[in-house]
Amino acid sequence: MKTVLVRALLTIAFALSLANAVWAQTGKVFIREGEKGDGGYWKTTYGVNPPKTLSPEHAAIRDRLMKRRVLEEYVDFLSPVRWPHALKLFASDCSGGSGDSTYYSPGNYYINVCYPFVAGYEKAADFLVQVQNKQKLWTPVSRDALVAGMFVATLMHETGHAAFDIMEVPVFGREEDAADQMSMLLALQFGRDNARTVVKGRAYFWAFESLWMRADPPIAKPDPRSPNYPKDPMQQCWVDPFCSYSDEHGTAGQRMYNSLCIAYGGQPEWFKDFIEAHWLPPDREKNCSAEYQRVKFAFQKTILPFIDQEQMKKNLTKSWFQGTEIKER
Amino acid sequence: MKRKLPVIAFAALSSLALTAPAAAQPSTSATAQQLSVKIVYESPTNTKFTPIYERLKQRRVLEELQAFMAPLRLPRELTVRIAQCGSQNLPYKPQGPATVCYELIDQIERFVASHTRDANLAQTAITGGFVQAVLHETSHALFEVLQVPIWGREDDAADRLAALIMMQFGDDVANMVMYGTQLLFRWSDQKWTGNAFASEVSPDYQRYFNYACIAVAANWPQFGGLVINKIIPQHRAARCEGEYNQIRKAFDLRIMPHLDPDLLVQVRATAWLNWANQQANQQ
Repeated sequence: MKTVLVRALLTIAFALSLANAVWAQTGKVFIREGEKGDGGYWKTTYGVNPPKTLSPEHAAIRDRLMKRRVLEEYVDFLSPVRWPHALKLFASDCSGGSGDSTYYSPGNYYINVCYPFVAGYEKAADFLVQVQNKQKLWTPVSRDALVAGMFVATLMHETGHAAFDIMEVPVFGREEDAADQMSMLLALQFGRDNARTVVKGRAYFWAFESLWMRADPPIAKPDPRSPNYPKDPMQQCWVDPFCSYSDEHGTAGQRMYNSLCIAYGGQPEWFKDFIEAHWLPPDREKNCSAEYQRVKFAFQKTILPFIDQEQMKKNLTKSWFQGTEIKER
Repeated sequence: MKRKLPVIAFAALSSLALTAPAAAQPSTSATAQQLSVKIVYESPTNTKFTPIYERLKQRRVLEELQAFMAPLRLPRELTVRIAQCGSQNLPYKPQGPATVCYELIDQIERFVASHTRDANLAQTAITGGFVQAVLHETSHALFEVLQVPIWGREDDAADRLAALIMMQFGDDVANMVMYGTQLLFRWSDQKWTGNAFASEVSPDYQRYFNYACIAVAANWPQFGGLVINKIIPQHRAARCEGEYNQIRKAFDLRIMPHLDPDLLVQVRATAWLNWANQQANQQ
């Protein structure tokens, strides 16, 4: 009888300690290591069995992210949020493919930053700076600011998905657009320099995709007999004028205009140079203030109750970018 | 093609309202005192639209919408009107009426006529387009009147709410209206390039997939063929159930509290758009 009682007590004690461990994580955001000592910057792919090690290019990206302490900084950035479920952050080589995008996993409550996606940002920034050296862009750009802005805007976009899932936010519109709105709204809350880095990174990335990578849906279908006609069904969909609209994301052009509209609508003085450069058509520009107010209202009604205001005040005054990351040319 | 409203479908619906037995209709007289939705048929100044005006009014299409919306308990009156706008669409403005334009109805009828000679198919497309437009514009008004927080582009949100509501009619009506809506967006001749993508309204093909995705998740037996036949590609089809659950959850949280549950049961038990079904059966 005594043994049974001891076992029962031990079981209860174990259950309580487990509950405590879970409880300790609830409401927080933390970094998830792949293997001990990697600091959450995984040295492998994720979800691939067996895991693959990094290419030299991606290993160098990992080193840069670690040195810049991007995950640690982002944990700090999100510290005012009282998450109903703990949110985990880590970086990895994802599936190891070149097309991997940083993503949030619904129900699993983690954001996985993909090295291949960072590589894509760096290439886009290099390209845009080269273009700038030959011709005038709408507004001046610098490589470091572009890369930093693209990276953080994406993290904020995925944070939007995390918030919608974890906080059970009612989303009436398309969730991908909503996550874009979240990234722009967040970017505007931390002063002009931080905002311009994030917004410019976002806008220029989608401009790059739309104008130079021709990522918007085509208006004519290529000849299926052409040797260049894709073999993969998904690739066939992207070159089809109808099927290419099936994506749950907006088109590259839509995402560029949507992002700028929210930014200009919220802070017209900070972004008037984009309007002077005719980046937004007048028909869209005239409603940007109302669009921003709509997003702000949605944030206040659905997200703000999860934010610790005292902690937020501290974060609002911080400069999140460093040196050349806010250098505009 | 921008938003298109099927005049004929609406007319068919209204004719049903005139001919259906009183018991089969929502208790319009009983709820008349509680209605917070006001309806208006504005007389068009352009005589070209007079036949549309006469037909819609005679068929009492707005009265049917009003009865359909009887369960709503709104903090202030909401007006839904049919009017001559000077363009196909009149965006909703705060405190304003939700407006469906004669120009749009006219455009839908002509557009459908240019795409099919099949009277049955035309009837479906016109009905679907018309109901879609009414529900879409009414959704904009509901967002404002109920102070609903909107994440995502508002026009897409209005589409998603309209799609959800469409699928709440009985099978026959829901399928006709949803199928008609899809036909109009699928037939679209829009070709978007450059700064066309700056529009606050999504491209018709994009809207097609938004409606179709919700339809598939809401009623697989009727719309699952869109996935099986790969009209909706696999990468999007895999997300449709989640999209449907998301808009349903948003509705339950932000709009359902404003509905009278007893009247909602009555509305769900009512046969809607009988005129459209009758016309379709006769063709």
